Amino acid sequence: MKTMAGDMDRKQYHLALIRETAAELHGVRHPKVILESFLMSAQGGIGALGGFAVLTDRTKDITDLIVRGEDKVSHDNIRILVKAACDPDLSQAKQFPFFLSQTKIRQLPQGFTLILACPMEDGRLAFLGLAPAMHGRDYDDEDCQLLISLSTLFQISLNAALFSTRVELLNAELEKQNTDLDRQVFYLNGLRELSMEAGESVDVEKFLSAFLPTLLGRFSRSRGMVVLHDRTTKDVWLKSMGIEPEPSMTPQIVNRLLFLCLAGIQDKHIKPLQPEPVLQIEPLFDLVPGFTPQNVFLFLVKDGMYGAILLGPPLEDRRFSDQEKELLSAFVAQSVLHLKNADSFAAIVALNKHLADRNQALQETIDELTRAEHRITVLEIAARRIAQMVNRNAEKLMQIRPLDFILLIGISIVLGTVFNLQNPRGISFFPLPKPDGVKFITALEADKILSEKNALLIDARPREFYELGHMKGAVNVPPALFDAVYTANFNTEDPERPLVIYGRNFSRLFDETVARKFLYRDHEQVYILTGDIHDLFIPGGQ
Amino acid sequence: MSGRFSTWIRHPFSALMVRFYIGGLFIYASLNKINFPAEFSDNIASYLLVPHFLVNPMAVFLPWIELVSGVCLVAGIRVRASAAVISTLLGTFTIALTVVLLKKTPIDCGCFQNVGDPVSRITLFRDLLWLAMGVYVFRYDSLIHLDRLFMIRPEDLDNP
Repeated sequence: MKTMAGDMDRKQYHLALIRETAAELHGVRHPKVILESFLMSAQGGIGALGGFAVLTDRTKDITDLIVRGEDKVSHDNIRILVKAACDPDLSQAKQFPFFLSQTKIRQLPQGFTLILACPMEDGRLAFLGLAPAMHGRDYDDEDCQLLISLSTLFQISLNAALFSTRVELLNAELEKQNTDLDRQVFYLNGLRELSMEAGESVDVEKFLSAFLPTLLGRFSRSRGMVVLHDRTTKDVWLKSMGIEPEPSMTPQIVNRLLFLCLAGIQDKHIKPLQPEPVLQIEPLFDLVPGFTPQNVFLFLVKDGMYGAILLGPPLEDRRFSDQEKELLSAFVAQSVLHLKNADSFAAIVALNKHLADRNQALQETIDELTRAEHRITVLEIAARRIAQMVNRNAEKLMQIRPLDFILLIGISIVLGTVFNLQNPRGISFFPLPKPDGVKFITALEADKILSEKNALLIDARPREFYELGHMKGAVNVPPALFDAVYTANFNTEDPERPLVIYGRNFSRLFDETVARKFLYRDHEQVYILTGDIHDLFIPGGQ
Repeated sequence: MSGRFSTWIRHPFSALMVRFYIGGLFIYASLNKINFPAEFSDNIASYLLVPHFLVNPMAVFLPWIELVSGVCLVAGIRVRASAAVISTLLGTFTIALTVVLLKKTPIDCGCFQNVGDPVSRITLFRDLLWLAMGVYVFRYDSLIHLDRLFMIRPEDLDNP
């Protein structure tokens, strides 16, 4: 009965101990505290003289060790113990706590009575070693059961602690990664801001003014400089920040600086829009005024347009990661792209201005052409009218007009009249009046006068007509030869002898002409025979 | 052959030569008649084609018409009108000669000299030839016209 009561008390004690241990371990996250609490509870629960509690990592190296009441236990001894415990022959892949066999324990260098192994979830191992009990008592099943219960608590607590530790480590790692991500986000925000600023300012000068502070601010640099040189137009853009006094560089120095940058890049060759980090920056120190560059990038915007970005040392004394260097390169590349855009925009603006000027000139030309066209139209109308006038005049010249005949004949009449009046041999325009003292007689009267008065019959017609035929006994005295004939034949003629003259035709009154001449020679009886006398003619020569 | 003859006939230079010839001929023919109008008057009268009251005026004016027309032909003044006048005169002369020949009137022609040039078939043929020349000048003459020298020609407007 007394024994049973003692067993009950012992069990109550064990249960109270388990409860207290559980209460102690509740919330404990440090493995060493757990080990210590586990060792104290186990040692106190079974009355062991000493003991140890050890925790290994996955490689079986000791991470935590608690030793109580055993001076001989050393770190090396424990390592040997752990190694032996982890021997495949001694330990098996078990999930629950287990005691090492007494055979194995006896092979260990220390004199431990019980060694309990507790496998953890993450592959670690924890060992609890207990020296013999006080008063030389042997450990019974109740003790082993208590140790198993305590080890289960220990296993749970240690797993929880290890899990918590892992979570903390993971949190720390995540926090670190978050910091990196924040930094990358910071840089990327810088890139975005740069893009936005570049989108707002398409002028190279303005872009450089906005770009340099952004670059220096994002990458924690207090000093920096960007220089751009267009060899075609000899233009130089230079922007600096944090350098006192503000540097100024001649195109020759800029050219020299860019040449040294080109010599300092990796392949001594640069492609457009692909900035290259300058590896050998020492030769640049003499050319860069006011600061010592630590990072230099050379870039080519377009053919003949080189540029360089020179950054001073960072404000923080820390080493930039490769990722940050890549971001810096990306930042510079983005900037070069914007520079190219700005330059292209400037070219487009210049082209637009040129086009506007050309359009203006073209418009003026069109206006002038319009005016000229108007003038040409007026001139064409005038030319057509002139041509019509000329054609009309030409046609008039080629045509025969009545006026031409009037003029020709009129001029001839005027000239003929004037000349005839002035000509001593001129003639009368009009027929002379019938001569006074001349009697016009008929053929019968003429015959009577011829027979009774012995009159002389005179043919006044030209000789040719006379010879064709004339009146019988007629003497031919043509007007044209009157003087000669008269001198030859009539000088001795009696002026009182009657003269009967005939000879007139449609065109000429020869008889009157000759009668007038005879009257002029003082002949008194002159008769002109009229009427149709052709029947009286005899053929010529008789 | 006929083509070459036609080209030669239509050539302005040929017409110019004929024009000078006819013009000079009429100038020459008019001079003696102008100096001796009475004799020319007898010549006209001998044709028996003109009323006696018109013989003297014709004897005075006809040589001057010949002279003015001849000068205009040579100088290139109102050429077509002058050629028309001369052709008309030659046509009239030809008709008169034909009539005289038909009537067998024994008269002198009076074309150049007042005497010594009796009317004959040769005279008629000669007048016909001159008449053809006058018509030819009227039709084809186009060179050296004095009255066109001082005016713009239509072709000049196309080639200023």
